[in-house]
Amino acid sequence: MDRRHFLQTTAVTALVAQGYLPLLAAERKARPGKRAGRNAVYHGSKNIYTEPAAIEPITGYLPQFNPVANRTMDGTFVAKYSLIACNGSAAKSINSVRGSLDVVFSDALCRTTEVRQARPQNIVKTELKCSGRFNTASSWTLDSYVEGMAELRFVEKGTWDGKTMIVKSKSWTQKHSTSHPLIGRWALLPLLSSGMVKAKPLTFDMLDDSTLRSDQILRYTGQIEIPVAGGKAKLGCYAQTGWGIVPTHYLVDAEGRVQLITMSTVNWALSNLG
Amino acid sequence: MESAVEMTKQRNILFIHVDQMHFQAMSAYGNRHVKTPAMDRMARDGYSFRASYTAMPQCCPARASWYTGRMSSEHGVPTNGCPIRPDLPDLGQWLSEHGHYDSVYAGKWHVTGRDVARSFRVIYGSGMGEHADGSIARACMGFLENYHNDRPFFLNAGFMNPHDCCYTAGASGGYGKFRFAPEIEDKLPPLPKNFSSPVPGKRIAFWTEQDWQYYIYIYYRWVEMVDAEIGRLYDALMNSRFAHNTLVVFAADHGDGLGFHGNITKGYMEEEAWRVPTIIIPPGRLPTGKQDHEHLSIGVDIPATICDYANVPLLPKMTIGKSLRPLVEGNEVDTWHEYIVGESFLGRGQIGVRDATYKTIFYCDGPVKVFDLKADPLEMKDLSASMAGKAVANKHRKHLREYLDRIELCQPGGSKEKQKPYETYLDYYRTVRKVA
Repeated sequence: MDRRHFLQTTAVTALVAQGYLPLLAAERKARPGKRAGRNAVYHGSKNIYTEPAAIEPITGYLPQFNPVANRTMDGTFVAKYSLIACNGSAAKSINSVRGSLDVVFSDALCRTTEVRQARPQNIVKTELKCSGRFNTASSWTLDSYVEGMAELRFVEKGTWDGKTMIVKSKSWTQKHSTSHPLIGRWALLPLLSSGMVKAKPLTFDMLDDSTLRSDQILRYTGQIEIPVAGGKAKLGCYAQTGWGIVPTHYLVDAEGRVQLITMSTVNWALSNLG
Repeated sequence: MESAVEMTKQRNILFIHVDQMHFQAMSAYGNRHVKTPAMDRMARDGYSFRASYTAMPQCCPARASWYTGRMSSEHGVPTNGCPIRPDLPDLGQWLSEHGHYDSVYAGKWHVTGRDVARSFRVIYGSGMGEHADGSIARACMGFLENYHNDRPFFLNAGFMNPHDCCYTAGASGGYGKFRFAPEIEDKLPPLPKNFSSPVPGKRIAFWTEQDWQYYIYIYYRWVEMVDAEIGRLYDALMNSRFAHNTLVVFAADHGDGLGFHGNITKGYMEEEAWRVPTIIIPPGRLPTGKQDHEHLSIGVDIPATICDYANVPLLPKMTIGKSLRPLVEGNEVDTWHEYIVGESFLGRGQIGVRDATYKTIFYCDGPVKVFDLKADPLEMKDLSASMAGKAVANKHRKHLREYLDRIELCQPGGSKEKQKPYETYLDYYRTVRKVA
């Protein structure tokens, strides 16, 4: 640890001990009123594109995270993720497992089951038919129900014709114009696994359950080494920004497994792959 | 007892509320740095009260005012964590009892001292915005899809975001997602014109101006995130068989500093925390999308409006709130709020009095600030030392005394320790009355 880093660390620790949490900028030296350019010097990290933003919401969880290493995410696969909630931060982020996600990808069909722990639990099942090399959405169903409350169940069916997405239930029809290829959030996994986004950023509209999140950009931002259970892991980092999301990082290992996805208060950790 | 047929003529009510939303964080209101298509649709379909203020700019007190119709110093919740007076009925109970409503709740409640399940049929709980808002929208959509009861419904959708901005802190003072900045640098919003460096000692005193821009950028993404969920729910309603007979109310419990005056969060009487977005969409919608900057509105106008549309009496002892319905429906109103009073009993305590032109902030430990909101909407020039400013403060002090004559101050019993949170306003209001 160099002297600068030591002083920064001890200063921050002292502030935390006094009840102050300097959210930002304890170490950055940007001058007021002047934006730091792409080549600006940021102190304290070797890779300004990925550290620590990519893992900041899950630093408390990472020491117990074991990267999954059995099979890969190409072709047919079944991936299980744990929802890692971030409830604040102290010396590390405060994390707890608050739900799960199962993703089954087979023959351009992406099926998901998502459970968010709450009282009562909301369970969302989706089935998305994809097409083309970017897994663009062609049709989907969403089945939402709340544990023990049959009166809250609804099913939506959606289609996308390349320009407009239409979502129908028994009671309503919703239409939204799109301006980019429409890709389901979890249909991104095989694209990330394939490495095809590494060479060229992907611009798309995202289908998040039946919600449209438009104007997304997913780009490769470099490699990152992170602490995990029993050591460190080197992962490729992809970052997504766009309408209606906080910057989202996908951390992908050398075999193309999307091990971690970090957003902010909701994050996902791969727990099983079959 | 009304017949089932008559009851079905009653209006349904959908109360959508968000947490910690700055009054200008909406593209319909001219903000170029955030896109809120759902809120914009609501603004187009309804009547926006642009001079709308919360009763107290903190979660629990503001929400207790929505649901009891009483001001912060009346209902027993002067700050977060204080328990509401058990004798006060709330809107859930009131509409069930007096209007035969099915009072239903999903999402954030946060009225301390009262179990929401005592007052509403709870269909979904709460959590952080990113975690729970989608589920809240889906629970409410499922409710609309399957509701076949003869009774009208009073459905409450309590969304959490953009409140997730309170959890942005990186561990050990790290950058959190803000470190992503190089990739979004060209999208960073400018600082507000009234930005000033925060007071040394505050946890945000370390932020550079660029850090503030990152904060504002991410805050707007949380606004968009909740906008997406509101859009799903609002569109489901407007495309359903309930569209023609449902009142929609949209409001925020309080604002967020968002860099204005170098502030974050809430709890003070500057516009960024005290002022809130409020939209009323009457059954059948409005074609005009009116934005009303003239008529002042305060948080307790919300329950008054809901009671009016529900055709039930006002909640007991509501002396401040007025129904917004006549304005929404284009009817003449003989008298309107000449001024409004808002209260914050956090820390030193502060009271805001606003009339058509001026605002005075009375700090409970003595100082006063006066702003001309017509000439100086960003509150950059304190007029309190000028003759004109002193005259405004005197007039507003008189308004404050009138206000005190109209409300019923809550003086809880119990141990001294338990009474502590109430002493701020009890002491200050005693002083105000004594001077009179």
